[in-house]
Amino acid sequence: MNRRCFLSGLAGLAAAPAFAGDDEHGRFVREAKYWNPIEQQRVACTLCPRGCEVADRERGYCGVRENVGGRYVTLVYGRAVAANVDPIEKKPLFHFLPGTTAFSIATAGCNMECKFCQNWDISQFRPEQIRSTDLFPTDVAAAARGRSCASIAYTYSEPVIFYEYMLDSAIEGHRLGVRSVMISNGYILKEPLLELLPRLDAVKVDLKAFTDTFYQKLCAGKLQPVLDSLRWIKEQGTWLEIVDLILPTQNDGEGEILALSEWIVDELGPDVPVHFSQFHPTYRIRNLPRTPVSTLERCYRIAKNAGLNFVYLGNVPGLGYENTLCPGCGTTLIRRVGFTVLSNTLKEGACPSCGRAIPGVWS
Amino acid sequence: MNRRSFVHSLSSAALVGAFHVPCDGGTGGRPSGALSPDTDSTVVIVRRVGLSQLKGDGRTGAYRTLLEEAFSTLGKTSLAQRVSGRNTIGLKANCLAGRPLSPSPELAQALSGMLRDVGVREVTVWERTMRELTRAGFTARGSFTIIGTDAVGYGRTIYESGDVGSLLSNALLNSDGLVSVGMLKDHDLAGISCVLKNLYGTIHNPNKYHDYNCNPYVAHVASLPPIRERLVLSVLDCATAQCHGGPSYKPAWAWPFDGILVSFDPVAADRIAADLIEDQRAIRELPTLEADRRPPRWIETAGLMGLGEHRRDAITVREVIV
Repeated sequence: MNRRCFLSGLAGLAAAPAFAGDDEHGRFVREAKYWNPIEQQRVACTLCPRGCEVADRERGYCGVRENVGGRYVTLVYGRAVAANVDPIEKKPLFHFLPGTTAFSIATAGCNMECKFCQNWDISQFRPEQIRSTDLFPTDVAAAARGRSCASIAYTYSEPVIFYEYMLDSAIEGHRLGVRSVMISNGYILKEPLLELLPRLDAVKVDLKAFTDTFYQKLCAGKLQPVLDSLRWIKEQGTWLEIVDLILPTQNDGEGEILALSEWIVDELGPDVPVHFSQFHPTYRIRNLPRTPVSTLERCYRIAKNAGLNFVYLGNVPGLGYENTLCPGCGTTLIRRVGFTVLSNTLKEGACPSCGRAIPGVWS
Repeated sequence: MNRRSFVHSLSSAALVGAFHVPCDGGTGGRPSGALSPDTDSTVVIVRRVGLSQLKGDGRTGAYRTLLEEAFSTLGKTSLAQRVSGRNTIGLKANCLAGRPLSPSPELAQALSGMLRDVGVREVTVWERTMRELTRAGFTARGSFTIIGTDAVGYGRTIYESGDVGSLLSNALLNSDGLVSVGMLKDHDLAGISCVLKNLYGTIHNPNKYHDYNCNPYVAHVASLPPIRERLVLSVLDCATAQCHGGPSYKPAWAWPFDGILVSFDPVAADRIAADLIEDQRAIRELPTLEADRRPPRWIETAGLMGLGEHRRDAITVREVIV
């Protein structure tokens, strides 16, 4: 199944009626897990920090949850708009089963609106506006196993908004020995996150900046809930990596990178891998250039100096910043170019030279 | 409208009547949208006892009478001037609430006929989906076709204004004129959903723009260039109105207003619509929209952005009962 194929109908086709009760698309409808009824047939969503209060026949901010007569439902259970086999390095997860593949799925919708979103053509649409295919949790697990994928990745758009679909797919995947990873903005409330984490084997969170101003102006979100999620994930012991997409002039200040790095070291520990990634103009931010490599290299130095042991640069393949080095002796442990693992010399998760254990999920 | 508000409207109209500036239609070679500085901010309310009870041809005829009265009040040739140079006009109907609280197909029929009478070649009635249109009772009729954006899709250009960035329905982009045909109704977040809020149905991502009681987003959507250039007329079907519990239909809060509201100024139309809803809420001892934490402040924002007149004392209201 090809993502490009799914997306080819984007914007030109909107094949489904709008309402959840429509027979043709009713198979994708499930009662949502986290919501409360309020007066006048209105509901309060308790899945993410937005806390949408939604009137009858209206949808939440994500565009994929609808109030149907006072009952809150998801419209995207089993409604995949993308399904691909990707290298796990593409997520990016560098300390999680390197060299394996992830069966990667997404639905329409997102609970933020990042003006630099690289997948806006699915994340910023409603489910009925994009071609989709039926891919229910048992299908997802079977497809992943059938393609010899080590994991299922919930990715591309924002998995939090297809929570029920992700949760059940992760359960089905585990039944077949396939693990699950969530590639997320971390914008989720504690209770649903704590229910989900035992079903996940790794989480990558986009920490998009370290200022609330950036989150509010460019993402229609807030910083603090993301920081809270990062703490909860770490506390639960689920493998965690962080990506910070660097936008020139917006979140690339030395002070901000230092503050972000120090916060991670202090709150999450120095062994959480951090990826600084290159921005390219897209969606609603087309007036900024690509992030200069020199800026990314500066981020790298600041983060290393702050005490982070595993810092990577993304979207700039071939410069050596994708390699995993032993923080003890400096030996190159995993050599990568782009999403390709060229060599992996780890011995049972440890450096073959000095024997230092390297944190991650290696088998 | 109760007697108190009716009298209030009339005295207000009398007060500002001297400053009424007749609409002069297009400017130069390019048709002006309703959202241009020369727009007349008169709002006409025409009512007919029992309108909401009429069916079929009788209802179409009644709407035609109400519309003729409205345009006559706005200026005899006003409609022709307003749509001059526009061949294809789309009526954006707000059909979210299903048949009981959606614009009447008979109103669309009457309006379509009048538009054709003044030279418009093609009239469409459109909404987000065909299903919404059919649920509201719309079928293709002699004088108009119906289009769901689900059938024609969205354009590929992201249009931006202020905080809003959206793709626009091809139903809008393929026409050269737009009439917002809404309802007189309450909205749980925006305060009201009448003329301008109806325009959320033109964009692909309306769910992104409901925070902060839709302020400033309603104004920003209305100022997206393809909308601003095309919007020539605002019509509210007020046969049945609703003062609380919107945007879906809640019979307990609905009442027969038995009329229509027409204006070339969408902001003025919403200002008056908000007043009518507030009046009804007062009658029912409901809190004001402000007290209910959902004041439609986007009306003022729209006015300050030059999309129309938001100041009540600068709006002329004419009420006619036929």
